[in-house]
Amino acid sequence: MIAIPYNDEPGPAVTFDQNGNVTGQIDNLPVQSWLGYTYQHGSVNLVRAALVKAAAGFSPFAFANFSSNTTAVDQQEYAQLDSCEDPTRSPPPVCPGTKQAVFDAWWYLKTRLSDTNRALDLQNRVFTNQQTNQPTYSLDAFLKYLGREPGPEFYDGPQSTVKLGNAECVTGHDNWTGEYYYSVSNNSNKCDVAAVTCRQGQEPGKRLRVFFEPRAIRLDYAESDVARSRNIGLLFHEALHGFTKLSDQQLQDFLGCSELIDTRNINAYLEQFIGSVYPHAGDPRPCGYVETYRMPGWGICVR
Amino acid sequence: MKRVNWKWLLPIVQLALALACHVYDPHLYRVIAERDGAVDNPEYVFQHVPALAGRVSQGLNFPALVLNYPIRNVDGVIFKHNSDYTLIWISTTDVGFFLGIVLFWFWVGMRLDEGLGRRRKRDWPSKARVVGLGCGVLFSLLTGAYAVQMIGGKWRPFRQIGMFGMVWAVALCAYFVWRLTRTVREPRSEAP
Repeated sequence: MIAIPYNDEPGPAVTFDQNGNVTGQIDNLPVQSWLGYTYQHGSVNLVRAALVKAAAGFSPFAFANFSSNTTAVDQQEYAQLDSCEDPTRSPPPVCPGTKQAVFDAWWYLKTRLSDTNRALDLQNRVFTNQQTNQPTYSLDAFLKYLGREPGPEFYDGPQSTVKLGNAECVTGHDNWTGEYYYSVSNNSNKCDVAAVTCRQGQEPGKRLRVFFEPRAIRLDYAESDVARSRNIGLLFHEALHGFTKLSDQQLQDFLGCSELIDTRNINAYLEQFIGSVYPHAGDPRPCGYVETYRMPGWGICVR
Repeated sequence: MKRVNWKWLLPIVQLALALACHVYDPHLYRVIAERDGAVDNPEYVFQHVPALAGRVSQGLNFPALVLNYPIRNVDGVIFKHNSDYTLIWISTTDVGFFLGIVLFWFWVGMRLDEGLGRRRKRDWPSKARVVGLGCGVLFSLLTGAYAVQMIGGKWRPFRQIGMFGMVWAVALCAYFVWRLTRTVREPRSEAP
């Protein structure tokens, strides 16, 4: 068993198997040290936090890594997001890694959506069709979907060589790999796509599967509520695709947003419901207001 | 005046054009995506890739796409370079497509050279000619089937490429059926 704490505070942690799949949750686990170990709070038990990056070969091809230089890189079908607890990396990435950041967002999304103060607004403003006012989905069902065992799958999109069709992505470009898809959309200086959600639907056995652009994930979430909200908002958006099977355009319609080509109006709208304080300064407002006044003025690559 | 040797000229020109489009197409897409402010919108990507250059190239060389069909999913990358507005991505299936272009246009060039009397027609036995032309009819039907599959798809670029494919299928079918009919009807030279 290997564990990833959600943040730098004592609290629940996600556990993984050796392939990086979520296998469960530990309720009272870790304080993370700068050395990449997690400690049972209030005890002397030490849990070695070691996320094993799946074994992989090295690409022999020129310009094979994302920064277009000639450094060989890991090539694998479902590439794990960087974890600062990966013992196979030397030196290990600085903490927190994108894996910690995404699972932090996942934890807070579940926690904040379970907050009874928010339940009514969420049901009426997110899970009810804003065009027709028809309650269409259930918050409880969504929470169950998020928590499906053995947990969600989050991968590094630009490094994943799996074909989108094999990963059950709804594309029609089934022979594209994740790596190719992100190469088309994003380059070393600019990202146009932050995430792609695959294996959509609520049928039994379907769990959330998202391929992220790691540079779209904020790593300063422990110090900044805004950063954490950005990550949670992005994940909420993707999880709604997984849960509802709606496309971006359909989701925009459902939430009462305009059909903008910049789909971050969905994130901005959803962020109103998942902040650390709720309600916050007159929120929530309709998507039309949010997309007019709160659209991000920066690109997707935050790093 | 020096005569044009179509069987070499056509594949070389078409290959050069296809390679240029292969490099220019992602550049074109990125410019358009930036102009449109497309952000975090996978549907936009699928609705706009390949861009116009890629669509024209694949449409003009649709028979090469058909020849490449068996390895269309073999996409191990051989070379890639990704910078601001340039993405050069060459995979196994791309190489197959380029080889298909060379083969197909070489064949078209040979037929053209024969038609213009610049190349002596090889005298195949009539049975072999019938079989060959039958294979041509089959190929044109497969071209049509592939084109129909593309036209029925969700994404505009492939529907447009599929339209080119239909034109190719009709043209190839007409050519091979005409040749086949003529071959079957013509008096057998080996008859006593």
